[in-house]
Amino acid sequence: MDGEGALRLHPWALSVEGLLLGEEEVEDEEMTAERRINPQVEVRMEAWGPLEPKVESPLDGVLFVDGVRRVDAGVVKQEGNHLYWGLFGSYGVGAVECRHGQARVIVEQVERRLVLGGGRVPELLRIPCGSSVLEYRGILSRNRQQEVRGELQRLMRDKEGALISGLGDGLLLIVDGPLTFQVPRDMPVLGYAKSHHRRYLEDPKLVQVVLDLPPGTRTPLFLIPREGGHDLFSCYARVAPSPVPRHPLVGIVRLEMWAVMGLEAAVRLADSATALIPRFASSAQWDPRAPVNLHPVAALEERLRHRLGDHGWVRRGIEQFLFRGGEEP
Amino acid sequence: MTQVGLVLGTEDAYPLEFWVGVAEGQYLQLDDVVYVKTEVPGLEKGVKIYGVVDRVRSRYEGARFDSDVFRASEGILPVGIATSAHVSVTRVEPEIYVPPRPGQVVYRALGEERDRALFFDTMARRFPVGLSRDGQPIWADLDYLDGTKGAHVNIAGISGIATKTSYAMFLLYSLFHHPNTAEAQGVKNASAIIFNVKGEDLLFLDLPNARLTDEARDIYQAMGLPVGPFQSVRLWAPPARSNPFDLIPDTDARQEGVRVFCWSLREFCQGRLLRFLFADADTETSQLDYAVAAAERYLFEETAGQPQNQAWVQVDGHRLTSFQDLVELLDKEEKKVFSHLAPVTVGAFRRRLWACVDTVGHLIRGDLDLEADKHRIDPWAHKVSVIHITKLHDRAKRFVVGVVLKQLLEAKDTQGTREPLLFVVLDELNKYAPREGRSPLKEVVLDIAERGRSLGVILIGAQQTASEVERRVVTNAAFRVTGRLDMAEAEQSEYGFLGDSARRRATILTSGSLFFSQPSIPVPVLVRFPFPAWATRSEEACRPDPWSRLR
Repeated sequence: MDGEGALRLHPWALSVEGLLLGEEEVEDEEMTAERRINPQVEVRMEAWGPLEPKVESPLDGVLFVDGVRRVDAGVVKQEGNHLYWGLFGSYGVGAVECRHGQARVIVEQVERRLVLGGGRVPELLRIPCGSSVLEYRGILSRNRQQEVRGELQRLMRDKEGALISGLGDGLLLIVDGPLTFQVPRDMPVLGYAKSHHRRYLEDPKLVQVVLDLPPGTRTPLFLIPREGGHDLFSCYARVAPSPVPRHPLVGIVRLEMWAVMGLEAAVRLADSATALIPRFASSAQWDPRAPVNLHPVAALEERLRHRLGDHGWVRRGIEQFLFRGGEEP
Repeated sequence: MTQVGLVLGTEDAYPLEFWVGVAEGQYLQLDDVVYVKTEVPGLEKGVKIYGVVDRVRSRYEGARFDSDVFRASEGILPVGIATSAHVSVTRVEPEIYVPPRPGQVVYRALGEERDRALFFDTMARRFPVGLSRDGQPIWADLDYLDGTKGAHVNIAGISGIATKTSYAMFLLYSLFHHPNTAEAQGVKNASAIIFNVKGEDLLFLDLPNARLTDEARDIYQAMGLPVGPFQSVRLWAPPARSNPFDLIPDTDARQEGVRVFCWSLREFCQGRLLRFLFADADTETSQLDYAVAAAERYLFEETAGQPQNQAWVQVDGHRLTSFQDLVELLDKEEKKVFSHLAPVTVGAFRRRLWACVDTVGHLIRGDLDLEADKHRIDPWAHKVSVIHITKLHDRAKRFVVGVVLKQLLEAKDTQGTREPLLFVVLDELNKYAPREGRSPLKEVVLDIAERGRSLGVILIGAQQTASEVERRVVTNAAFRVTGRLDMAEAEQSEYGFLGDSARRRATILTSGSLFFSQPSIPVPVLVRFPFPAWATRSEEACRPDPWSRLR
């Protein structure tokens, strides 16, 4: 194996000790106090209320982009007296094109990485696994040493960003999750956030507007300031009604657009998306995150997860590899 | 070599069956023939596994619920379509029974590979039994028909879609006319006896079919068969009852060229034919058997030594010239003939015998002294003899079938050689050799089924329902053919040889298609056979112009 020190399996690091920290979804970034949300970019505060999307011409089609990731095995690398946490992880990204009454997966890509929190990182490990050889590229985690899991998430999101750059054929692009990467400004890219851990709107009146949104409508846009000129326009939209006993946020999503595209383009984009997405809402039996986890995305995730390979089988391959001291047979 | 797909790994593959994932841009349909090569350590050339597609399926991948089909069709849910085919293995070459391995390439078997898959390469003497659905001939091994390795054909199928008799005739036609077999040892001088039990379809075998389409001609040509009627045909019909003095064939659609068959009283007595008047299988006839045997013995002994060229008989000083005379005599001589039998039994015997006077009496005659030979069916005189018994009463039908079969078995026994072969086509086996009960007729049919192979008598039997026919008659047939079956009948164990898939398909077979099973090929093969090249109705008959000779 490349470098000194041996990789050892850390079988329960993920589930028990919480040693491999890292946020599941980096949906809510810290905001500095001085840069506040501005809810008055589209309408004035007094005029806040549900907006029916104005769509002049229906969209030709839409592209959904999503990724999945998995920790294949947790590891520890020992170099002298130092222990470095790490993991073998796999992630897949893909896109579904819904166009002309047909939904089809147009891209699927899978990558595998050995993420280490420190020490010397091997460039490439080739791990025999059944009929194939899995290639794990070594990566040194950029973040704190224990946050190797967050690093895997970041790798996946970057890969999604790279995928989107290659997809520009004028279709509306909906990326599952918030926008964490930069893409060319002329691309109609929209982030689709399903979970609502952070309160973007403080004013109770505005919050009430969100809760009362009728299906197929959205709130006015508000501006989320970000560092480095990566400000976002955002709005809430309702994908499906939320009858009792569900809580009123079920069926609500938050859409994100790069502010750099300008307000007018952002309004058009938000309107198009608000009008379009309810028909893709998933049913409860299909997805526990229904209705907001849209059908094309849910199906893509399932397919990508399948492409990652059988977890038990991959894990066994890694274990055998480590057992042999990292030597290929 | 056309690659059609890969062996599936999500379904188990076995040495005798496996699934194929059908590749994009390819297709497999039922009855397609495929092969796959698999490696075996130490065997340089590997093993070739041949098989026939017997199930094809297609399904969504990535869909979880039935209703996903609607989401997919609205363009909301991305799904994939996977089409797979199930293959029943027919042959493994060399015989090392390993399963093909997932991912191995499956090829469509064409030409020589197809011949190998269906064992056609092993058939030294073969004749076509129809076309597969892809238009290729399906061959049968003559060795399994002529008695070399097996014999007999059994055809099952519901009536009304003209499959059983038509196919029996087609088989004979192919056998007698295909260049491979027409001149072959055993077939060259063979002949056939065909009982026409329904309609008058077979009275035109010797005439070309004027309504034969070009498409049908192509099918004959694809099999290398000439297109035309049977050669050397003799048609036989019973005498019409309406005319007690002249022997006129009892047929409707055709009279010319039809010869009348009947038996002389002397033959009836000397040949011990009486038993065939009691041929309806009846479980309660054990006592009756004694009466029949006693009467036969009496008639035999009383007529012994009487001149061969005389049709009538002299019994106890009485000159008997008709069947009724004979019945009356037995009545009169009751005490003498049946001295030791209970009156009830004798009464039953007499009642039945009297019932025969009207239904069978005209076939047993004492009035044809000089012409007796002319009315005796000689199966070897022509290549094909059709015995028309459609219009006879059931009892008379049984009598004719029983007597003809008995006489030809006796003739073959006397000949002592298998050749010349004699093919017997008999429909409605359920009537002549029913599963339940026993009768002299059933014994004769069974005798053919069991000894026919060595005697050179080949039974081409047919029935609607094999489950109602004596099991040994059906199981002795080397070739098993199944046309359309009724759903309940298809479930019977008699059709186990079809396998599940063909069993289901047998219930929807259309006219002209049937499953052909032969010992050489371990799976039943669907065959199509063409519209007859010979006429089956008067309107189809292409008759020579009677005026042409005068011009």
